[in-house]
Amino acid sequence: MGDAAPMLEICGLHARAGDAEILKGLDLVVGAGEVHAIMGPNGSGKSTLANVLAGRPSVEVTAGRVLYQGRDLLELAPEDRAKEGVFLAFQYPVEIPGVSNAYFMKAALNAARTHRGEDELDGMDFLEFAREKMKLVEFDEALLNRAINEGFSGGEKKRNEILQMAILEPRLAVLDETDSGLDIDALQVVANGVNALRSPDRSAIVITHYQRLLDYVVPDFVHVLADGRIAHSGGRELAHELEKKGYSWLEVAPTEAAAP
Amino acid sequence: MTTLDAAQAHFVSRFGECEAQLAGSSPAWLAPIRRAAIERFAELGFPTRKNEAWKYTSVSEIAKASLDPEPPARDGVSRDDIRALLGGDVSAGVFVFEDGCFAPELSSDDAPPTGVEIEGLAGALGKHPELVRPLLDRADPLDRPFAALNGAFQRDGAFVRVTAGAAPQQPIQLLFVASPGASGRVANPRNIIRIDRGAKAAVMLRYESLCKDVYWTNAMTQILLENNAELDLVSVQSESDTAYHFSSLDIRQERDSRFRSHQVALGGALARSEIYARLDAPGVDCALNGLFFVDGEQHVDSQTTVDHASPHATSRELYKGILGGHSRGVFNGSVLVRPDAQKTNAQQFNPNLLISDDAQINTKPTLEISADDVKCSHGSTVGRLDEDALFYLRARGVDELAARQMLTVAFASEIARAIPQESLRSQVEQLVAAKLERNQSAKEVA
Repeated sequence: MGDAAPMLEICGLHARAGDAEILKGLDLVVGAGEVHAIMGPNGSGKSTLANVLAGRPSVEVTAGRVLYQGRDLLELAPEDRAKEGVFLAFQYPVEIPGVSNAYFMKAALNAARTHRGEDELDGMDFLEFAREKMKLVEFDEALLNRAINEGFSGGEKKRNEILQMAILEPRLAVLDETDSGLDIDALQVVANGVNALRSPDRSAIVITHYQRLLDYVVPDFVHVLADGRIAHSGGRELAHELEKKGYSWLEVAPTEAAAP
Repeated sequence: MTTLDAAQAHFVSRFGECEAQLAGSSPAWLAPIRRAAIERFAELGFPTRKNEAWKYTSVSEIAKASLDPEPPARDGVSRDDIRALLGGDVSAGVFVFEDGCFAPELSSDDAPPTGVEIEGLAGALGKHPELVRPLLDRADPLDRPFAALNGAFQRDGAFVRVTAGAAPQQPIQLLFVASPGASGRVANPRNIIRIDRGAKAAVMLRYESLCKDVYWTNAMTQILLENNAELDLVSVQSESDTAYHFSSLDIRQERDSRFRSHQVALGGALARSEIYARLDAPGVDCALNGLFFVDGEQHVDSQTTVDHASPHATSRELYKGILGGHSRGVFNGSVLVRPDAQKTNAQQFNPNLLISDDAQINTKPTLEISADDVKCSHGSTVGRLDEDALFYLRARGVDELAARQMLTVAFASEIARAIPQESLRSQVEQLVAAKLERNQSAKEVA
């Protein structure tokens, strides 16, 4: 296995949140170095997929498997996934009063470094490292010393997610509607953050409602998620088509295809 | 005879036996004050749980323990012991009380800062009768039985006076240590803190212990803030888990004075604090901040009464509770707004965090308003660590245990952060962190 295994391989994934089955047999393969965009109507399961990958305890996987670099991802606790290089940029970043952003990011980075057998960074080294990354995402340093996301504007929260991604340098980044509610400047910042990480050994899954982000983060593949399954896949041109026609022209196809 | 009655009779009879010896070196005027106090205690007795103020806290364990109100023969607490407790040298401004009695030989050798007078209350009785007598002679507005017991058996404690206009930079730290000899005994420290007109100070009352057996600290502290005076009072209760700790606190605030209490309760098998703040004049500002953090089999009870007796006064109260293990917490906060206390602004909030399935809290914030032009709010919450926050931290690689600790510290940190004096704030932060550490290691063993 090793080098031969794709970054992510999802087979027949079923998952429920509460009483509702949301994912109903999802298949997806993401190769190393690839950026995949996932689009789809509200309620189609995009965020559930993101949460399954990050390990949110309230989402229950009922069938299927997820291999990350050839290993069973679902067996790992959320923190271990993070340490192994999986990153979720939250759709709704959580406000945590009383925990400083800087303290949290240093703890997160050092958890990953320790896991990789590297030395921990002390406060000074961390700050130096973080400053570089803050430049990249045009992040106001004053926010670093505030409590996590407390009183941040929507745009500041999303930048904070991208800053954390830049600091943690994940192998597999999952962005859950990070572009929603952002103006064009903030959108470019998000795109810069993702593009800066693009390399042959890193991959990204970009979940979005809007084709606009994909003008800046050009995906290798675009998938349409509908009713808990990938209903349609294509190249980057699919995003433009969806922007023009909406999702309705696709909705018939998966049902027919699924019929025995 | 019930256990409670028997204990009451025991203390009353011990008073008879000790009275002459107690009177020994005190001025004659104190004897009738002590006598009135024991009579009050004899009437009030050990409270039963039918008493509304004691509904959730039983004192039968203390009654059964038949402790002796005679203070222990001081049992050789050394400077090294104090250093070990403080995690360093006795710095300037630290005054030590062993089993409630002033121990100058354990205290800082430096003179108190200009404008600050500190000594044992026993010494102040003779030197400053005009300052201490009116306070000792005052009837307890809440009729607290154990405040009365303290009044009967009081011998010593801290007397602190900050003279008019003085503003010492350095906090005054009063360290109360239960010696190993405290076993089976009751210490009744009586403290008086006076901040004279226009003065400003920070005082810490810290209760620590070298005694691993059952003992009882029954403290009473009276505070007077004269016109335009300001005080930060940091009270930290970090007794042994075998201890009973009761503390009564009376605050009287004169015109335009500003009082901030920062109370932290971490120790004791059974600990109860009763605060009574009387806002006696217009323009007064009173803040009561508190944190209680208990686990194992601990029981902690915080009772606060803010008495708005005058118009244009502000009170803000924030008491936070963290309960782990099988611990029990009680919060009973009442805000009283008297008929002429117009333009009162009073807030009270008691959020609680349960960090185990077996912990319990009874919280009762109450408002009693007899004026019509006031702004008052109160409330309480009981909850667990926020699952979304926990997942957010874990999703970034922070281990679950570390994430729980981070969020628990964050919940507590608001109280420490409100302490303006860095040296006092850091002591509180360290003690809370150490408590959390013990809580986690206890969990790992279990």
